[in-house]
Amino acid sequence: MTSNTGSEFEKKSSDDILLPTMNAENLQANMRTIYYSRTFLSIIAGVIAGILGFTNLTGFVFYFLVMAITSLGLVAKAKFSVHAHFDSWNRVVLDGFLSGLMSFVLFWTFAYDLVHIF
Amino acid sequence: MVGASEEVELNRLENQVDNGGGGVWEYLCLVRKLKVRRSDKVLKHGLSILNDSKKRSKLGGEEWTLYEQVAVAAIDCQCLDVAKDCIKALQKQFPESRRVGRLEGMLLEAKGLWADAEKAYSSLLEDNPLDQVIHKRKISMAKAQGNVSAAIEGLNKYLDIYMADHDAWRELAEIYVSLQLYRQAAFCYEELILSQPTVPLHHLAYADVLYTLGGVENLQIAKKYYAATIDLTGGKNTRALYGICLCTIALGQLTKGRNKEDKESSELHSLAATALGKDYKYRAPDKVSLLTATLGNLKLS
Amino acid sequence: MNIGFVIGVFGILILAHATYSTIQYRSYLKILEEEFSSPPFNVVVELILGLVLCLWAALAVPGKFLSIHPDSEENRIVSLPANLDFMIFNHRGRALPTDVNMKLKC
Repeated sequence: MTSNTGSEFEKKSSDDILLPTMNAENLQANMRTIYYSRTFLSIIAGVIAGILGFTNLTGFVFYFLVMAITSLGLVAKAKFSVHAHFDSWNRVVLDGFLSGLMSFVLFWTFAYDLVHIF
Repeated sequence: MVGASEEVELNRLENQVDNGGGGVWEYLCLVRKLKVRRSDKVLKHGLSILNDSKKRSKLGGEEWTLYEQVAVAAIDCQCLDVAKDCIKALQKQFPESRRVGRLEGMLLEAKGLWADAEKAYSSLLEDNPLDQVIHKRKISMAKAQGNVSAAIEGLNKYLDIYMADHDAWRELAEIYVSLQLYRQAAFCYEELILSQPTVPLHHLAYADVLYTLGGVENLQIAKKYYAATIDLTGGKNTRALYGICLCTIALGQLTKGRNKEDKESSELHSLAATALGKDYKYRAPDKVSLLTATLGNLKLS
Repeated sequence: MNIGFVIGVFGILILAHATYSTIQYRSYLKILEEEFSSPPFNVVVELILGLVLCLWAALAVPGKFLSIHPDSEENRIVSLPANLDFMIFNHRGRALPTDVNMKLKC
């Protein structure tokens, strides 16, 4: 179903000069929703990585894993029809990735210090 | 703007409230949010809350919003006693408020005391000459007195200053249409489409005006705007579908096959006709025969 | 949304408990003078459970996705609001009988 709506969208924009119209307000609200989800989950991922005592690359790999699971969850939340709620896949898969990384590192070191050093 | 699902919700709540179910406050909030004019219902149900001191105190600060809403509804229903009492209560709470002063002016308007209302608005404008709502009240007062040319003049002056006010543009467009000044109305609708390009109803109204004006060029543009309406509503606007049919037929009569676009437009016509047929079959199956007869007649004539 | 919030709080509590258990386990290892390799099994289970609960909360709490298509049911505009700023009062409602019983009691 997702590929179906996707092709329809592209056909529209390539055949016509018509821009795809969309409700910008709702798009922004959706992006905010994603941002909240990602920030919260990167904090939680940081805490878990700290408790498990991950160091070095393992921690970052763990972050990627959690974010991938989040993306999957977000797509499922959008009922697998991404183009009904977002203008491109990048919004779901990539947005908020780097800003989440910062809070991840912060909480990772925080939990690690709490559990393993003090 | 009233969306499709919001309209369903509003009707559901209205039914529920009319049959004595709960949700009166939710209903009143939705009416306020969607800015629909249901004065009789607002008056009846709003008063039932205001007269129940337990329910009223539960609202907290929102109580005064409700007083204002009920006051306007009462003025609209000519229940001037109720309106007067509401305004009195508001005045006690907010002395010297301009918003309450506006309500008093509206009460004078409803009584038909135009000179007094004019005086009240002028004194309010002296306080704050930039109060848009009071400017609009003065304009609508001219309209209510039947002085449409003064209303147009006032609106033009108002729009020189507040060009982004699409409500005023819409009012001006509607006045022009009522006077059959379609060229001017078309200009207003162009402004509206520019300021709110995603509202299909402006496209539809613009197309209607152009279709009424007639002429090959106008008809072609009107057809495009009907198509835009269909695009924005997902083909669920019956008026736009009819508009496409009428435009293609009128164009066919005017050009009599000289046009090279003829094939494309007939395709569009048949598409619109099938969409109409499907819609009628779904929503009013007993009227399908009427539809086919009408479309057939259009083709023949 | 409310249920999602409660689940989130529950998940955070579980994570806090897991933290506490790990700290206890570390001090226990210190007494035994052993090296820490990985947290005990019940902590790992708690962490996974906490992650799942928080994932649920993170997806449920911030609200639903709204459709961006202009022609979807929630976005499709079916009527414009009444132009309330320009409403006039000398309409036919004046001729209709009004309910005299309506009165504001204060």
